[in-house]
Amino acid sequence: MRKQFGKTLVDLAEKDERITLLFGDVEQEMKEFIQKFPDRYYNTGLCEQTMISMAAGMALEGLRPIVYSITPFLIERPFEQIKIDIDEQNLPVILIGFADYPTHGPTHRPLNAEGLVALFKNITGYFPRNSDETKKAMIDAYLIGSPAIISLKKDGLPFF
Amino acid sequence: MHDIKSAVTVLDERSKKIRRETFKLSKANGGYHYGGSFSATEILICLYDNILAGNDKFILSKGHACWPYYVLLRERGNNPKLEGHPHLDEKNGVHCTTGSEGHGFPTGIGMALARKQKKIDGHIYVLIGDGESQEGTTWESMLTAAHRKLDNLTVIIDYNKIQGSGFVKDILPINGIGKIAEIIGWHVFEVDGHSKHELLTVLKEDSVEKPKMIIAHTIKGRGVSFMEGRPEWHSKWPDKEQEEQAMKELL
Repeated sequence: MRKQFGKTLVDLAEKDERITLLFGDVEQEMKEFIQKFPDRYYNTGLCEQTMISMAAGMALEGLRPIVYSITPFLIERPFEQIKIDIDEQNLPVILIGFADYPTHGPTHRPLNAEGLVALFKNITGYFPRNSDETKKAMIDAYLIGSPAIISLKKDGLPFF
Repeated sequence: MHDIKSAVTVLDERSKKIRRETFKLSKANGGYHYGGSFSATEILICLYDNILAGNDKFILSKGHACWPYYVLLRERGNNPKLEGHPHLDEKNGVHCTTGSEGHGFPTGIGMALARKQKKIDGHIYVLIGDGESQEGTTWESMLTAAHRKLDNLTVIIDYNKIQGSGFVKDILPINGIGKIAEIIGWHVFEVDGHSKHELLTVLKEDSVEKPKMIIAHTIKGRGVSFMEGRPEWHSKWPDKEQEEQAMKELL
């Protein structure tokens, strides 16, 4: 699933030079992207709220930002930035988070991500459980061009 | 601390006219927030009359100061939605939805970075408030813009010393923000934010490989005697008598 995520990211970026990657200090799946597109990725450090607003600013300049982090840090911490900067402004930003950290304690477990994403007006939610669904979700979100949140979690892992 | 000469800066006819129009437009549309609108008026006039050109973009991050902003946009043939905080409407010159503090600065960083990436010219200007400077995203953004050497970004702080519930110095002071910005890697200027001459001088200053911060010392409610430096005029609604006096003083 993680490998598929990294591979689909590179496939999309090869076809569309507007694809730009932002991530907050978590990069293990993105080594190939970083290597291939050194001018199109930003490790923003630990400032998730700023990272979301930055992605909105990039989309307002015609880029297609993809923002990656761990689901609770991606959705819950910058919730208002997503509400205003991404959802209200209806910008083509894709937020992708992993939610498969069942042994990492409460800080790394999201609330019901499906429930949170359903609150937004314009954002489409995707919750893939395997590699095929991951690829399909990413391509679908890219093609639709409206804001999207993709939260990835391996099949068989419990809902939190 | 910068010597605040604002009290002796005489407001010219243009400054008074924009304030009168601000009054009329906000009244007709149920708006208020005169204090922060009038502290920011000269900054907005300088940007729109003398600075913004071509590919440049301006973000009013302190969205509650929207009425003089709408007046200036409408003068230029735009027709922005007239609500108490701006909505994104690029055709009408509104480049970002703002109102909740701390969003415009990082959005401006995203724009400036995108332009670097796409090798597109044009400058991004963002106006933030001093109360807004308390937000965590302001400090995250200060670190980020300096790290990325965004010399196509200028952030202006409307330092009017007053926020929604009182004086900034009593609530959560931002003393030293300029020095900190300088240490992080910004070009920092402090000016009288009601002096067009001082504002234009620093707005035109080059800032190579560094983002620019302009700390504009202003007076909240500038131009209306009973509003100047009075916290309640952050968002108070004037009665008929006060309204008449304000309009008279702005003639």
